[in-house]
Amino acid sequence: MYQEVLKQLNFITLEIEKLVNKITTNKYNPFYYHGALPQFYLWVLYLTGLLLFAYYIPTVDNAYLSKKMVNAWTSVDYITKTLPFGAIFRGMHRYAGDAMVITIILHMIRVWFTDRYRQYRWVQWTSGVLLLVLVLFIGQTGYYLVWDDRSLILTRMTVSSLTYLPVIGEPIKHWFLNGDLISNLTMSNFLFIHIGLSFSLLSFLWIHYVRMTRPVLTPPPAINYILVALVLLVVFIYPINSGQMADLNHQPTSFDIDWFFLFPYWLMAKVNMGVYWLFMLAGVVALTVVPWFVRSKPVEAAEVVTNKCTGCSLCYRDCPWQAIEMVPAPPTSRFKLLATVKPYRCTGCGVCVGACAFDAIDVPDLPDAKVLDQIKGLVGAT
Amino acid sequence: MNRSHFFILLVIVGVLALGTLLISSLMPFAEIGLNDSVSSYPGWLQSVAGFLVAFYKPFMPIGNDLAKIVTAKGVTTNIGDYAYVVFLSLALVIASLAIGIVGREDATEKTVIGDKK
Ligand code: SF4
Ligand code: SF4
Repeated sequence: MYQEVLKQLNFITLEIEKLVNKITTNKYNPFYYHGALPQFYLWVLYLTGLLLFAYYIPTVDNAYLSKKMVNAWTSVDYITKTLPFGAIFRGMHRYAGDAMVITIILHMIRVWFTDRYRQYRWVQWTSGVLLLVLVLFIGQTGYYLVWDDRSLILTRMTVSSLTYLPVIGEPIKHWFLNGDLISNLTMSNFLFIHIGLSFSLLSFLWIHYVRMTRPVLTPPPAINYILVALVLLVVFIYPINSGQMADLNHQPTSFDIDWFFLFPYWLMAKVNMGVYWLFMLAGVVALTVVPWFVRSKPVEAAEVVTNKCTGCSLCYRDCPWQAIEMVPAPPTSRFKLLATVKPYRCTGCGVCVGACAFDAIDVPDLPDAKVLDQIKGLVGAT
Repeated sequence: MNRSHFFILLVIVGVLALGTLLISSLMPFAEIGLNDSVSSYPGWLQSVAGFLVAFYKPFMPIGNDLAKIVTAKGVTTNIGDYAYVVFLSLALVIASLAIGIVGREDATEKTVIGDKK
């Protein structure tokens, strides 16, 4: 049943891609860069974040406002209202974050529909889930930094959710607030988490890419321009405004929700803390372990036809998953090298079949036998 | 790409380029907050204000409409920045289309398949 549904979803995905190909050609089809799209938005976030950081002051102190002392809120207000293009950069930072979450989710859906997250690819999937969780958390800390009414209520809600956790709750709360109460130190901590974790994303990205021979890191400029244009358009349609400055002596009761980042808070407000934690943890664990639990047909690895292999290494160079190793050929062979497949790494993609000019490698279980025929037909046609 | 496709794309890019030109005419208004009152111009500009007003008059309503869109959403300062936003996003879309048109020629993969031994 699941196999059938997946097959249909895969078919629909590929049909949509084919349709887009007709308009954009394969060179500019965003579907072929689905993993690189969020990565591009990450660069936009770094750049706009750097500009905001230059003017941001991480303090909550508002006792001396009459003396024109500055704090996080007033610095954000200055960025938004006074600094030339400040509101634009702030808007870009905010909406590029949303765009990053959307593109990550589309990326996940695509790899799921095309069944490319199991077996050797589990590292990509698991590190990807971790990256998503981190991106969501970093985005949330961005909402605390503005230090308006919403920031205060979000901070307080986070604190009460942490306090609910036995044993580890208190120390995490202490770390989160950088003390026991909300203070200037809390805001420095939020800034440190926001920026520090953003850069730690790079290490996780390294794990995400490490098993790929040729990961596509950046979409072509034509796509990048559209990605930036989209963000700018949203900045124009939904300009960013500041809420009211947070007042520690006052408890705000409601806030506007950004569904991309703040949905956990919506849940927190609806259910009791136990259910909330159960739902969040179970959700993350379920997503992480999906590659091992979803029953799908196991992939059969490519096989080298030993007496045909000339040791030319073409398949070794083309395999996207580093699944082929060139080993010394047996003494009886007239060639120096022989290709061997590491079955646990092979995804059965069939690239090596296309790479081999000697018909010396086969993928027995290519999802669609016609593809194999097609590749062989192409080779035969030359 | 055949001739008719190329022609259609050329027309699209042409229209967008014209749009960009029109919006770029709004830049002086963007600088003064999309406000068409000549008195808000800097002193040195006021000396040629008559000419500027005559030249830009047809575009002023566009500037005012743009300003209305953002002020309705609560923007009170640096309104002109949003004209740049529209301009830049339009320019990026055109640049992207232009790159796409030029680049699609070599989009077809020229896979070289080795000779069979
Ligand atoms: S099918 Fe071939 S190219 Fe694809 S992963 Fe397996 S060995 Fe590598
Ligand atoms: S491309 Fe074919 S002939 Fe060359 S090493 Fe790989 S299996 Fe052997």
